[in-house]
Formats: sequence, C-alpha cells, structure tokens
Amino acid sequence: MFASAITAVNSEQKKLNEEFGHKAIPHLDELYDFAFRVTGNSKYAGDLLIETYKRAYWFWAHLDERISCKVWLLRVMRNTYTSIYWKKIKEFDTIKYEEIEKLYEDIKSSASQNALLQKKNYNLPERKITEIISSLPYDLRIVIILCDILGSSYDDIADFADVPVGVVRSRLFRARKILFTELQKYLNINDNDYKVQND
Amino acid sequence: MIEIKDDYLAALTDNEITDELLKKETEQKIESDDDFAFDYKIQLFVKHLIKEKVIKYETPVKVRKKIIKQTISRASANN
Repeated sequence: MFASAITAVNSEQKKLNEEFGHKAIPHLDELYDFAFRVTGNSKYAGDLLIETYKRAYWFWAHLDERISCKVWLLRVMRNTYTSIYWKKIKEFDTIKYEEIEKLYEDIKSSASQNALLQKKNYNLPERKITEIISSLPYDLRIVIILCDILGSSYDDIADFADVPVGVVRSRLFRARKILFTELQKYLNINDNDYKVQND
Repeated sequence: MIEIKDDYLAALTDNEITDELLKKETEQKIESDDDFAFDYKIQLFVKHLIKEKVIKYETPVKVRKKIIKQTISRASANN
C-alpha cells in the first residue's frame, strides 16, 4: 500500500514536470526579456526570472486555465518583482508629464511634421531605445513592453496589470507620446527643417 | 454620436477596436482632423520604430540551466 502511494506521488510529480516543461519553460526568453526591461539590469533580470520560475513551479497547481500560461507567468513575475525587488531597484518615475505634454504640442505644431516621422532622420542605436523605454514610469513602461515588444493583446495586458482595458489604452497612448518626445533628442535633421523650441 | 477620445488612436494602432462603428468613426475623425491624424501617425511611428529597433534579449545559458535544475530536473532526480 505504501509502495503504491509512492508510485502515485511519483506519477503526479512526473506529470507536473512534463506539464511545466512543456508549458512554462518555452516562455523563458520572453520573460527574461520582460524582466530585463523592467529592471534595466541583467543581474536583477536573471535573479527575478529564477525566483519567478521557482514560485511558478511551487504554485503550478494554481495555474488558471482561463488565462494563457504566459500571462500567468508574467503575473507571478509581477508579484515577485513587487514583493522582493521593488525597493531594491532604482526607479525612474520622475517624469514631469505636464512639461512633456507641452513639448509634445510644440513638436506637433512645428513646420516639419513629415521629417519628424521619417525613421532615417533618427540617429538611434538599439541601446538608446531600450534606455528611453526604461526611463518611462513603471505603469507606462509595462504596457509598452507588453504591447510593442512582446506583442500581448490588450486583454492580456489588462489581466496582467489588473486594470480595465480602457486604462491600458490610455497608458499606451500616453507612453507613446512621451517616447516620441524623448526621441526628438536623437533627431538628426537640418535646423531650418525643425522649427520647434525643444531645449 | 460617439465621442472619439484620443486614446482610441492607440487602440486603432494596435488593431484593438472591435466595435466596427467606433472604428469607422475614429477613422473618419483621422481624415477630417489634422491634429488627430498627426497623433495617430505618431502612435504608428513609435510602435513601428520599437518593433524595428528593439532586439530581444535571450535568457543567459547560466540562468536557463539554473532554472531547469531548480524545477523539472531537481524534481525528477528526487523520484
């Protein structure tokens, strides 16, 4: 009887391992990418990923079948991040939104709108765009990473962030406006084409 | 008449407007309102720029091995 109980436990364990290996492990890279962009640091990103997968394994039985495994893992990561790392990691949430909004409106009213929308006019290596995204306030950074980098749907982002879809929409709108304003620092066009006061 | 808010432009950019009427009215406003249209172009521009410029980071091998070891391998070894 004892032997059969052990066999049953082993069988359950084997099933869990197979499921975890099949469903959770394939999302490692996406979650690492997310962790790196949230923390802005490869050391913290690695630690966060390890802790997230440890917790996900422990709580695998709580996987909610109504949401995708990726979203569930991201939630585990979010909870891990907020409970352990939040205070350790330097935050950049110091954006003065009113100033950015004013600058955005100035840019919009400039005479060179077409030039502003040409990718070739921006001298922008990958590292810089990562830095600009990292400088967004946490709530805005999250929606950009999930939507524009990981390709998540609004429903999934809303599930992750625990906010209504309307909030996701407005955060994305606002985040892209801020990013566009920040991008102007890397604009490389003739001053005569760019008549806006953005100093 | 539906009130078309600015942030619907984000939803249109991401193909996330499921209500056909709302989608149509948003598109009409883009055609008739230059300011609104420029906001839309900016949403598209930023999204495409990120997609083009951002590279994906892969899990470092050391981290991947540690996770496998701590989860499915460790549990298998216990059996």
